[in-house]
Amino acid sequence: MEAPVRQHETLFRLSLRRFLRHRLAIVGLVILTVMIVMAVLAPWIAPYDPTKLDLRSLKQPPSAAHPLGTDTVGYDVFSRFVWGARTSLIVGFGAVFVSVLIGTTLGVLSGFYGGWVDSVISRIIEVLLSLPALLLVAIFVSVIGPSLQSVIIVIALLTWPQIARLVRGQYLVLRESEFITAARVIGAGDRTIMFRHLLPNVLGPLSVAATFYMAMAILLEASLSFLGLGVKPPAPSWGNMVALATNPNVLQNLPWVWVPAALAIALVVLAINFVGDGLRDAVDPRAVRRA
Amino acid sequence: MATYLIRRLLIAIPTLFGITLLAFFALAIAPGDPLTASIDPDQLSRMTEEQRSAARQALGLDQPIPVRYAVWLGDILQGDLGFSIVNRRDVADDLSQRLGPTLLLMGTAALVGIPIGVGLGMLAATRQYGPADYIATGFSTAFIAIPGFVVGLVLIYLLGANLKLLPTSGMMTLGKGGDLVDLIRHMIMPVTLLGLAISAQVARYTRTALLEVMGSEYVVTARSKGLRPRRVLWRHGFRNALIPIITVVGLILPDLVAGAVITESLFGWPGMGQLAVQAAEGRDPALMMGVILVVATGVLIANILTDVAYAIADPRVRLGERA
Amino acid sequence: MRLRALAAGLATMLLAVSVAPVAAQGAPDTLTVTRVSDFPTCFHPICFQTGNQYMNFQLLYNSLIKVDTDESTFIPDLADSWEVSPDATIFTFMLNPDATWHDGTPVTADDVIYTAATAAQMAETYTTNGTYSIANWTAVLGADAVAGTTDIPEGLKKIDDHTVEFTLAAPNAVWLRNLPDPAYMIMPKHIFEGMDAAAIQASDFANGVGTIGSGPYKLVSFTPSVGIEYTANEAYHKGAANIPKLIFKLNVTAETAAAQMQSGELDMAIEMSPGDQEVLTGVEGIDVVNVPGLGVQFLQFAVDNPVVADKRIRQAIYHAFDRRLLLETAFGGAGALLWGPGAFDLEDPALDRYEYDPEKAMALIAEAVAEGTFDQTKPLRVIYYPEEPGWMEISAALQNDLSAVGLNVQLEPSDSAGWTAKLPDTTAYEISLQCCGSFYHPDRNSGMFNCETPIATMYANCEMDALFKAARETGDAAEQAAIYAQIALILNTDVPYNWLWFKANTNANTTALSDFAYYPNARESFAQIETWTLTR
Repeated sequence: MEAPVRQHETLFRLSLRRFLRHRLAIVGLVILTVMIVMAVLAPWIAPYDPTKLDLRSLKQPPSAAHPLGTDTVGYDVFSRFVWGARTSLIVGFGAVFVSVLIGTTLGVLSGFYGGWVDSVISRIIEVLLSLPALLLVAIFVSVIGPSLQSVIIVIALLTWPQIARLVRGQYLVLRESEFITAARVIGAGDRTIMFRHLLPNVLGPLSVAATFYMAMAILLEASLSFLGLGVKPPAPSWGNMVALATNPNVLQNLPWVWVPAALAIALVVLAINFVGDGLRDAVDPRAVRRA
Repeated sequence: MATYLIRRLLIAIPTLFGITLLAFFALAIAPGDPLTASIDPDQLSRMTEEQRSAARQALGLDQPIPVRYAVWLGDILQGDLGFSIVNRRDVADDLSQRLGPTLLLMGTAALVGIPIGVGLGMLAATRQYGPADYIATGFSTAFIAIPGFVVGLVLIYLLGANLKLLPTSGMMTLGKGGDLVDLIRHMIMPVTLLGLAISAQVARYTRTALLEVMGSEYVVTARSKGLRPRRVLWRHGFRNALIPIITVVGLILPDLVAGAVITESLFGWPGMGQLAVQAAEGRDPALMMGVILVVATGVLIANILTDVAYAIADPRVRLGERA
Repeated sequence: MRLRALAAGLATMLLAVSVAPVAAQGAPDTLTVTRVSDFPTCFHPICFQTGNQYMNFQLLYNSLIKVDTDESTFIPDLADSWEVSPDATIFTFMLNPDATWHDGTPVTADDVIYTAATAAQMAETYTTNGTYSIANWTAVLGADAVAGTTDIPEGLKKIDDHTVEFTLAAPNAVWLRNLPDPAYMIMPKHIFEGMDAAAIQASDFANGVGTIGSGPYKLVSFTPSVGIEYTANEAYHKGAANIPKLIFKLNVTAETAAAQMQSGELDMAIEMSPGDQEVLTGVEGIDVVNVPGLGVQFLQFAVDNPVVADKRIRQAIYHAFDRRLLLETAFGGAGALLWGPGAFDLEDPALDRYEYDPEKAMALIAEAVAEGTFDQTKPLRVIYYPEEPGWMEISAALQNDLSAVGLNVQLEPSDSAGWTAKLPDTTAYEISLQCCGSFYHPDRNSGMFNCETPIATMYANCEMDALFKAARETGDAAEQAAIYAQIALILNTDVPYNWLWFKANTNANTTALSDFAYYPNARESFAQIETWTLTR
C-alpha cells in the first residue's frame, strides 16, 4: 500500500500543473516579467534623467539620440517610459498589497465572528461603497496632495471593501461546513480555524480577485492622471504620459509621446488578466477544460 | 419581504448620515475653501487679511466644523439644500438640472451595453474555443485593457474634429432647443463609449458565469439525459448564471446616478459627474453635500433593488437571514 | 428575421443622423464663441468675478467710454464726449441721447449716478464678493461717507438728463483709463431702485432672467453650464450689430476648444492653450492668431520669508533662470521678455536686464552665503498648480536651471484651490508661480503693494507707495514719466517679483468673420462687436 499523500501538497501541485497548461497565462507571465525587469533596471536602461529637460530639442520625433522622441516640455520620452514602468507597477502591486491586507483582515473578522463585528464592518463597507468613488478620491487627494503614495492609498481605499466582501462571503459559507465542525470537535481554537483551515480555501478566489484588482489599479492610475489627481509631473508615470493626450497637439501631432505608454498599459493589463484567468482555471475545481 | 425592505430602509438612514458626516469633515480639512476657489487669485492676493476674514465670515466659513455641519443638517431637514458658492445658485437648482442628463446618458448606455454584453457572453460561452468565443472574448478583454479616456479622445478626434461627422461636446446645440435629432447626435459618441465599456465587463462576467454553470453537475446530467442544449441553457444554465449577472448589473447601477466622470468630462456633458468634480475643486461644501446626498441615496436604493433581485432569481436566498 | 429588420432600421437611422451636416452650427446668422472655463450665475457688477463675465458684460452693457484695440485711445460708448479738468479731479460726460435700455426706456444721467452711488454704498459687499475692483467709484468725493447708507456721494452731480459730472476726492490721472472695465458698466436704475445688496444678488436680473442692458446684444436665454444666447439690439445707439445672433458657449475646457473649432461647433475661441496653435494652423477655414497680451507670467517671492529675504538671492534667481530660451522654445516666442514690472518703460539703461548669467547668479549666492543671510541647504519650495497653461513648463525649467547653480528647488504642485489657499501663508513657500492680471498702465502694479498692511509678496516700501500715489495725482505727463522711472528702478533692484514675460494670447476664429480685431486684453475683444461681419 502506498504511503498516504498529504492533501495540501497535491492541491498546490495540481493547481500549478493546471496553470502551466494555460497558454495565455504563460504568455501573460512572460510579459509581466519583462516589464518588471525593465522597471527594476530603469536606472541603467534609461539614457537620460527623466526629469531633466532639454529645451533645445522639444517635440522631436524618435531619432537616434532619443529613441522615443521628446515631448512638449523637453523630456526624453523613452527614459520617462522606462522609469514610468516603475511607478505604474509599484502602484499596481502596492495598491493591491495594501488593499488585500486590509480587506482580508476585516473580511476574516467579519465573516468569522458575525454578530455585531460583522454589522459594524459591513456598515463601513457599505458607506465606502456608497460614496461616489471620484468624490472620495478628489477630496482625499486634495487633502494630502497628489503623489505616488496618495494614489496607492486612494486605490487601496477604493478596492478593499470589495475584497472584504469577497472574503467575508467565503467565510460565511465555509464556516458551517463539515470539516470546520470536525476541527472544532477536535478542539481547534478560533485563530487556528481562521488562519490554518479557512484562509487557504479563500486564497484561491482571493488571488484571482487580487490579480484583477491589480490590473484595475494600473488603469485607475491613468484615469486619475487624466483628471489631474494622479502622480504629477515631473515624476514620470505611464498614467501621466497617456494623460498628455488630452492636449490636442500631442494627440494629433506627437503620437510618440503617448502611444507607447498607452500600449504598455494595455499590454500589462492584458497580461495580468491572462494570468488571472489561468489562476482561476487552476484553482477552481469545477471549471470545464476541454483543451 | 416587506419587513426586510423596511428594515433595510431604516438602516440606510444612519448609513446616509455617516456618509455625509465623513464627507463634510474630509472636505473641511482639505486645504483651501470656497473663498480661495471662487475668487480670482489676482483679486485674492490684493485683499488684506482683514478683508479675507470678512469674506469668510460672510460665507459662514469661520465657524468650527461641527457647528457648520449642524447648520447644514438643520437646513437639510427643512428641505433647504443650500447655496453653491462656486456657481452662485441654489444647490437644488444645480442638482435638478444635472440629474436628468446623467440619467439619460447612463441609462441609455446601460440599456445598450447590458444586453449586448449578455449576448456576447452567451455567445462566447456556448461556442467556447470557437472563433466566436475568441472574437467576443478578445474584444471584451482588449476593451477593458485600454484606458477608457484614450479611446474617447481618439473617437472625438476622428469622428468630430477630423471627419466632422458628429458634434464633439455638450448635450445640445443652443438655439435649437429640444431638437431630438440634435440630442441623439450629441449622445452617439458618449453612449457608444460607455456602452462598449459596460458590455465588455458584462460579457466577461456572463461568459464566466455561464461556463461555470454549464460545467456543473446538474447541467451535465440534464444534457446526458438527452435534453436539447438550448433548452438546458435557458432553463437551467441561464437562471443560475443570473446571480453573477445581477451582481455586475448591481455594480453598474450606482454609477447611473453618480455619472461617469471621465466620459462627462471628455464630452462636456453637463451631468452629475462634472458637478461632483466642480464641488471638489471648488471646495464647495453645500454643493458637495448635495451631490453626495443624491448619489448615496441612489446607491443605497440600487443595493436594495439588487438584493431583491437576488431573492427573486434564486429561491434559496432568504433575505435577512444569517448563514 | 425580425432582429435583422430591427438592426437594419437602427443602422439607417444612425446613418441619417450622422450624415446630416454638422455645419448646422455654422449658420450664416449666428456666431458661436467661447472662452475657456465656466461662468458663475451673475449678471451684475456686484458679483463680477471672472473673465467670462467680463466678455458677456461687453455684449449686454455699456461703459461710459471704452478703449480702442491699441489699449490707449478712448472711444465713445455710452458717453458721446467728455471733459477732464486740468488737475484730473473733475470728469464730465455727455451721454448719447439715443441710448436706450433693451426694454425701450431711455438711458439717462440718473442711471449713471445710480450705478456709481450704489457701488459706493455697497462697497463692502463688492469687496467680500471678491469682485473686480470698483476703485473708480470709491474714489469719488464723499464715497467713503455713504458706505452702508442709501445716500448719494457729493461728488456725483447730475447737470442735466444727459450730462453727469464726477468730482474725485483726490486727483487721479489714471481714473479715465480704468473706466472701460466692466465693473463700471452702467446698470438700469428703474429695475434696481430701492434694492439692497442681497436683493440685487437674488434678483432675476442677476440670475439671467429678464436681464436688460443698453449694449449691442439682448439676452435671449441663459442655460447654466451650456451657454448663453443673444440676439442683436436693433435700437443700439451706436448702430445695430451686423451679426443677428450670438451664442456664448460655456463649460468648454482648454482641451476641447481646439476640437470644437475643427468640427465647426465653435466659430471663435478666446485665450486657448498655446499648443492649440500648432493644431489649428493650416486647417482650412480657421485663422489662429497670437496676440501680444497684457498678462504677465512672473515668479512671486515670499519676501518676508528668511530664505529669500536677501534681495541678492532673488536677483541671483533672476539671472539663473534662462527665461529667454524657455519663451522661445517651449512657448514659440509668444510673448515679450520683461526685466521689470509690466507696462513700465523698461528701456532705461540704468535697469538691469537680468540676462541669463549663471556665473553672476552663483557669485551673488556666494556673497549672501558668506554674509550668513542665506542658508544653501534650505530648499526653495515652489508652489503652483500644473493645470495653469505654461506652469508645467516653467516649473520644470525653473527646477533645472536653479539646480544648475546649486540651489535646491522643491516643486510642490497642488490643485487650484489648494494653491490659492497656500498663497497668504508666506512661511509655507519661498516662490510661487503667478500669472496674468491686466497691465495696461504702470499704475496697475500699485495694487500689489501696500506698505501698511502688506499683501502678496509682503514687500513693504512706503517710499514707493508714495511715489505711486504722486504719479496718480499729477496731471503732467513728463512728471508722471519721471516718477514711474524712479519706481521702475526701485523694483528692478529689489525684485520682489521676477517678471518673466508679457504673455501672448492664442485666439482662433473662422475665416468667415471679418471687420474685427482682437484686443491685447483678450477678454476685452467684444468691445466693438457691433462692427463685426459674418459672411457664409
